[in-house]
Amino acid sequence: MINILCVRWGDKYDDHVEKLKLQVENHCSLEFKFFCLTDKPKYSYDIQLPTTWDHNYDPKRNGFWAYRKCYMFNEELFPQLDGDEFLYLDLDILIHNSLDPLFDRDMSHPWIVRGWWNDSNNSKKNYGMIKSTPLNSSIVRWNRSQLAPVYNHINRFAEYVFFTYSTIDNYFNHFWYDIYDEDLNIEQISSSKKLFKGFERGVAYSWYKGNIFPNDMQLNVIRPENMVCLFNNSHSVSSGKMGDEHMYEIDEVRELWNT
Amino acid sequence: MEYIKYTPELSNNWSRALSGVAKQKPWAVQRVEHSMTSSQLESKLWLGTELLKVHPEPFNNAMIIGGWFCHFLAEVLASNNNVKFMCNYDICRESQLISYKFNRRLKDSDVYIASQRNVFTNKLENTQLAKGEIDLVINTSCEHMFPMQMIKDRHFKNTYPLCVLQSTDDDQYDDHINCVKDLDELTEQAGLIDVMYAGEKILSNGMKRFMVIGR
Repeated sequence: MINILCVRWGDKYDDHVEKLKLQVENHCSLEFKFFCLTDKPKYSYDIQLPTTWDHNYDPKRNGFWAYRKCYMFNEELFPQLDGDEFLYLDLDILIHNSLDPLFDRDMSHPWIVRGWWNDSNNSKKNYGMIKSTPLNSSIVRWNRSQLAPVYNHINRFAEYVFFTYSTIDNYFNHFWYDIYDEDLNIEQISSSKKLFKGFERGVAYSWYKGNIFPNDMQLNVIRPENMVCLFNNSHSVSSGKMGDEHMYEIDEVRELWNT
Repeated sequence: MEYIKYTPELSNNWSRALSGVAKQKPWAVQRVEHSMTSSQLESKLWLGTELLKVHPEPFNNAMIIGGWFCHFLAEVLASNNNVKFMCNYDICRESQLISYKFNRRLKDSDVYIASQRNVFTNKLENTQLAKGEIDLVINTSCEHMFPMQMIKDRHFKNTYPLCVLQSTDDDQYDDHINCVKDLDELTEQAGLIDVMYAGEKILSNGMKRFMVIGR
């Protein structure tokens, strides 16, 4: 059984879950169960989020603010999740094309969005400064227990991780991905640092950052040939600059979102 | 200590390192430039001077945390403070590779190694552990990382290496995730109970740096 998950906490994305569920139903022909991990369960698909790591989160620093997304990497916490295949989707996405290909791929390693809009050299240059991560956790595809090492690592080093990393994507980049060897084939991946494999071009693009560096970088355009459009902007959120508009405030996007 | 001796051997290493970065890693050129400013040199010369006053004897095995390209520091420690062996831990692979270029002479003489490793969550290099007890721990960039107490708890439960720590109160940069307001806070963060030196200095770039030396 396939589990398609999202995570919602607080009230900001209250109406997005149902929209996401509809989008998934329209774009996945496989049998699946849809769940939302949330701090305020209301609907049949809602699952209560744990609060284990709450004490590590300092609202003033707002570091590692999306930590609640990482609970799902320990499937044993959620008895409702009885399958072996998992797909996580952010709430603020627009699905253009079938998600089925995400379930027909080599699963020797879990997959995460590789933001192809990032300049690799910039990511390398800024690696030590904990910014310019090439990863984006808006879409994660894994099989049961593959991401348990990530959950266990956060659990073990929670104080360190919450203090050090403003975003989970930067954390993933430092501990579970190898920006210096990302062109290797999966068969060559062996070290634990190379846990994640980045989705190929065409799976996801960013409304705010573009598609593929350096030639397809126009911002704020729909690219319907891709699978998913992402609207998150981790940097602006983590730095408290919520200047970007909400995705349903964009006419072109709202129209697609509502169909 | 007022300067680094620019010997032919050092000149050879550094000029090759700079041309190698320009040719093979052009994206790192700006970072290397930033690592070689007068302020960077001032803070390392300051370290070398005060450390020599506190501990004139040689050190056998030094651990450098977040040493970046480690050109100035490695040379200061080797030539001024008689450090027989040092390992520079940095999470960035480029830093590791580029630091080897700058410190080729020290690497070849078994004085310097560089490790791409996070020492807050991982073990130390076997090569370093094989050298015997670590007697010197240096971190000149404490503002970039978690408080140093964690390093002591993780790696030095039963030993008491001399620690040399630098930090700043300049919190205008995103990657300065752990600035301190004063020397007391820096000392407290590292859990130092025997402070042999504590001082502050305004560098030529205007940044205030704190430095404590102790166990």
